[in-house]
Amino acid sequence: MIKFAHIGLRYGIGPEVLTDINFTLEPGSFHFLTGPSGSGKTSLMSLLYLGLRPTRGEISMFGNDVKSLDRDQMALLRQKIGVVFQDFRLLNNLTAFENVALPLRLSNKSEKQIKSDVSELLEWVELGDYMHRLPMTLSGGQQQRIAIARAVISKPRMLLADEPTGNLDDTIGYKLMGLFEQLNRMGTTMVIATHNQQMMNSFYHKKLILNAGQLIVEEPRNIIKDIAEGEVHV
Amino acid sequence: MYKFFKLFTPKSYILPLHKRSGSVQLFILLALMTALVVIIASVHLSLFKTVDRWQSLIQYQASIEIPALDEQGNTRSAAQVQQNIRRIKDFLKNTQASHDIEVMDTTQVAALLNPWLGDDGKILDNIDLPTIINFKLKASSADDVKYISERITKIAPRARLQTHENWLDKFLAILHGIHILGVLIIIITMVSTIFVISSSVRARMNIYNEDLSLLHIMGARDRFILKQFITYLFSICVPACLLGYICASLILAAVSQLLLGAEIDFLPSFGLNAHQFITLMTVPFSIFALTMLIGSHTVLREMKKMP
Ligand SMILES: Nc1ncnc2c1ncn2[C@@H]1O[C@H](COP(=O)(O)OP(=O)(O)OP(=O)(O)O)[C@@H](O)[C@H]1O
Ligand SMILES: [Mg+2]
Repeated sequence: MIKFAHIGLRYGIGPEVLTDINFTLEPGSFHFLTGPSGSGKTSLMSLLYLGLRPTRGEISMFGNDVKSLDRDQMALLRQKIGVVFQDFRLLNNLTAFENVALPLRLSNKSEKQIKSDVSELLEWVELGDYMHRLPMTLSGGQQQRIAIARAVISKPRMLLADEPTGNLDDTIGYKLMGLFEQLNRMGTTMVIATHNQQMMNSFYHKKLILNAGQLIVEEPRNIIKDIAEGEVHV
Repeated sequence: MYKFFKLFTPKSYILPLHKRSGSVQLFILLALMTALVVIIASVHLSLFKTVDRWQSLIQYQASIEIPALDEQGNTRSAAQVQQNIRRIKDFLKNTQASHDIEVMDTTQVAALLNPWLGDDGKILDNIDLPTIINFKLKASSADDVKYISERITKIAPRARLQTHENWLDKFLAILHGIHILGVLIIIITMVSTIFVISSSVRARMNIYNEDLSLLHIMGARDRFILKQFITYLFSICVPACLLGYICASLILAAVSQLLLGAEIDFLPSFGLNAHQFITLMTVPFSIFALTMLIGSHTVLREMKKMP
């Protein structure tokens, strides 16, 4: 479980970009994170993957008070979180394969397991033929799929994705959402930041809505009602 | 070069730290520092050896010189000279302070003057040679020296006692100066090494800041990041220190060959034995250890800046 209590964040001496954020993510839950550009989605994501420390408030993660952890414990906690960044952040000197293999190397998996897991996942995201290419030689959508593969390879307890389907056409976009759903059913807590209203409306998940640094949680639409009104075809 | 490098690096080495410029400069700098310190250290070793040799040769050695002319400027007669010698020998034999008394004969004294006058016997025939009596002091106490000195002037006016200690002291003072200078240069070199390593590691961390913070966010421990830099520094430092050591050894060997050829006895001998070459091996090892230590310290300190 992840709990944010009275979280505030400011960059340097600037204004607070997040003010008094309170929410709880149950294990295995699925949330969309949405809000207008500049509302603080990426900032909230950074707090979730422990890339920033909040200027005030308490974060508790998988039963640990984050403030009380030492550096090694923080690192172990971060290994349990997969992140797809808005700008991918691939290591440009490493091949697609090596980029995806990184999380497994950080948790000291065997070469054999790395080889089979990474190849399988890259096949799955239809990049089997691009395994040994450097990110620079791939299209934006292909890079994004590598970023996603890297985030999910180690079956993290929580997956954070910042606009993961932004550069993808609808077919691959929905296929990836399918992957996220599948991971979610296996127990991974999901937070997907997106502007894509249509995408959010196609799934019945809670929404975290940010506006001017404030957060509200919106319950999913009622699927029974939708079916009755003929909006969902079973 | 890159392929070759890749052969020796573990799979966990993922940052191309060696690819950016600056590595060659770091390599050359480390090699130069190693060579410099090795050369200075070897000069030191030979100086110590020379001082040792001289000290054992002349420390307790003393000599009494009776000039050929007496205090009135008249040449001493042969009988007078013989009497002086006998009385001084008797006196020395009776003092507890001296032993191994030996009177140099004319040819030996002439040989001493050889370097200045040449082998030409004719010049020597026209010069009245001083009498020289060599002996060894049991200990070099100033009281003994003073006492002997007073007594011999009474026996033979203008007779001089020379203990060699004076000029040896002066010489040792010079050597000490050189010694301190050398130690200073070594310290300065080591301090420069510290700055060079820490600033070059920091520069490299800046270049790769994005990658480092990404790895940090993905859950890489500081130790993992440290390993990247250790691998990198190791790959630069080991060949650099070795090269520096080998070059310095070659230079020293060449210089020592040159000096041996010139047969200059009184110069410090640069010929180092195997034992000393092994002692000098500590230099590249120290620079290597220093590099690794400072490198690790810098990496860990910089990583602490990430949350
Ligand atoms: N590193 C930073 N330093 C200073 N201010 C920042 C920094 N990063 C973000 N901000 C500010 O924080 C606010 C929230 O930015 P953030 O990137 O979290 O928004 P976002 O919701 O992700 O926007 P978008 O939808 O465009 O990605 C913005 O006003 C931005 O200017
Ligand atoms: Mg953003």
